[in-house]
Amino acid sequence: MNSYDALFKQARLQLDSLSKLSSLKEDPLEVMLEKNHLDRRDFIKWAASITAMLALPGHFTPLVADAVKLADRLPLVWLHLAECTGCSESLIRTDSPTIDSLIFDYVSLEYHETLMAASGWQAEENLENAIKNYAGRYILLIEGGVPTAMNGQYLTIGAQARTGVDLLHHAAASAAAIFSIGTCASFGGIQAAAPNPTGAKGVDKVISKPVINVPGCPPNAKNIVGTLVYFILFGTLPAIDVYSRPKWAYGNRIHDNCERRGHFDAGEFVETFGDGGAKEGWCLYKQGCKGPYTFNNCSVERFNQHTNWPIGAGHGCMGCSEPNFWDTMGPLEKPIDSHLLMGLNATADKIGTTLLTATAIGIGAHAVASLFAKSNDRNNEEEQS
Amino acid sequence: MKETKRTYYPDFVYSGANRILHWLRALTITVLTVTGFYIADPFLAPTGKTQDLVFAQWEMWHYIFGFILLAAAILRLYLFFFGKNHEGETRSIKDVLSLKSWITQIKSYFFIGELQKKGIYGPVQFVTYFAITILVFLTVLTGFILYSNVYHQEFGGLIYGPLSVVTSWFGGLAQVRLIHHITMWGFIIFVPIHVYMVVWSAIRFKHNALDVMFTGYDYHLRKEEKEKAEGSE
Repeated sequence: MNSYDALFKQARLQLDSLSKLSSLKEDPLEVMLEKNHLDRRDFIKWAASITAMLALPGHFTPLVADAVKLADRLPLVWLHLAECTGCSESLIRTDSPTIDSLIFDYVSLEYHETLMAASGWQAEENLENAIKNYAGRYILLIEGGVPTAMNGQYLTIGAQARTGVDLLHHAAASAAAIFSIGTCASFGGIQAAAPNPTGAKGVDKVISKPVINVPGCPPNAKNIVGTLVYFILFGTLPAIDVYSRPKWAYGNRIHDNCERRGHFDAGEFVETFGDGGAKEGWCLYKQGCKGPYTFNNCSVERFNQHTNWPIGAGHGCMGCSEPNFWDTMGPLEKPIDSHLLMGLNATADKIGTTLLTATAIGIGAHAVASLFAKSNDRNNEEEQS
Repeated sequence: MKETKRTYYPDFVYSGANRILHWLRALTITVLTVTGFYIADPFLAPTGKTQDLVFAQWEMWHYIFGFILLAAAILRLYLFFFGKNHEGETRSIKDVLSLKSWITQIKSYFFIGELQKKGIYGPVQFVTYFAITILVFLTVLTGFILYSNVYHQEFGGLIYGPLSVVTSWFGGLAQVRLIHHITMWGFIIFVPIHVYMVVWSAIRFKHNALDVMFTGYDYHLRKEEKEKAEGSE
């Protein structure tokens, strides 16, 4: 028996139970794809790539395709907290409607402040209805950190001025699964950077339910959709690392699969932006690339329909999917030994050199003092007497 | 008639293994500091040949010497507790627990009185070496985390899982890297103080200096009072 058979069966059962639920959309996925001039072949190719990305064997491809077709059975609620909407943009801004963004249209998105037609009181009603009607069934996706200082008053949304904390607790209470989309929702992001006046925190620090983090600024659209597909496929949360990030996406460092890795190992580094090494595509480590400290799949998945990614464009990784990266990774364009130590406004090397100099001065002073010090050693005393 | 005679008496303080381990630590810490600075901010120009993996090789030697340092540290710790003549070292713990010994040693450093100690280390010395031992293990721990992210197989693979939890305690890989870098400065500052104090106390208190770490023998002056026999001359 293949070790994947049990997993295959689990997915089959899950999909069978999902297919018994009624669709929340008028058109099935096939019709939708056809309307956008995408044929079945494109769709199966896409399903195969998602299967590979989730580290599943090839024979799971039809299951993944089925899971995506059944995505209209699961209602989604997308909350915007302290954020810039960049994560939503990452998913919806494409050169042409890709399957990723179509899936996003196809899932039953019950509430998304940027995308929905409703506004004001009507929007709030939609949220309340979704939470009530699909209690225990809907997937909650959260974009943005949660300001907690001053009882959460730094973030209020809607006509009733509900705080972000309040909204989150309300929506999370009856969610089937909770995904933190982006670094802000996962770890607090830029508003949680020191001194963090709003007391911003990641979602998993505010609520006490299991949360899957999909960090990145923004996260790759593939990682958002992949996390969703995984949940639809298996009905469970994926294997995660210590920061609750799905291992299939955040299991390797940027550095592990970087296209410039060969230059790193050969000691070929870009010395300044625009120099000969930069033209040759050498490693950006000395330009502050944080790839060696950052877990993500950018080096494989890239961005914008696999067009390019920061390191490909000649700028180092800035570690955006790591916790507190604004505080721990800076300066972003210098190696990490240029990092300013908290509150000291100096690097470790600078402080070390200062202490070493102080040591040398201390030794010198002590040595000179020794020359003049009165000898009161027992043995010496006797010599003098 | 009484005659006072001062003789240097040898004290055997460091066994062969202890002396070898000391110089092994000195060597590894030097190599690790140089290669460590290269890894932090590579200062060598590339050779121009892609088959010369300059960085990878410096990194490899860094790891090799790191493992040697760990082995030397563990063995040294074993010898401290169970070595053949460890009593001289373990006796120093009594001095650490005595406030009087602390004052005596600190005063002696400021030219007041002689250095009196029960074991071979004074309390200040003992605590400094103890802190350096802790520093070695902190460096090795952070070093292992960085190592396990480069070598995913065998030992690296074995420690990867548990150490990723430790990574999160430190606040991510970048923080681990920074702490690793700061620990190195601990050694860089320790070395000149260490060498100076050895030479200074040898001159000041008239006993053996660097030689101790080669021969194992320290020499202390001892007074001897002899009753001169009549008519012996």
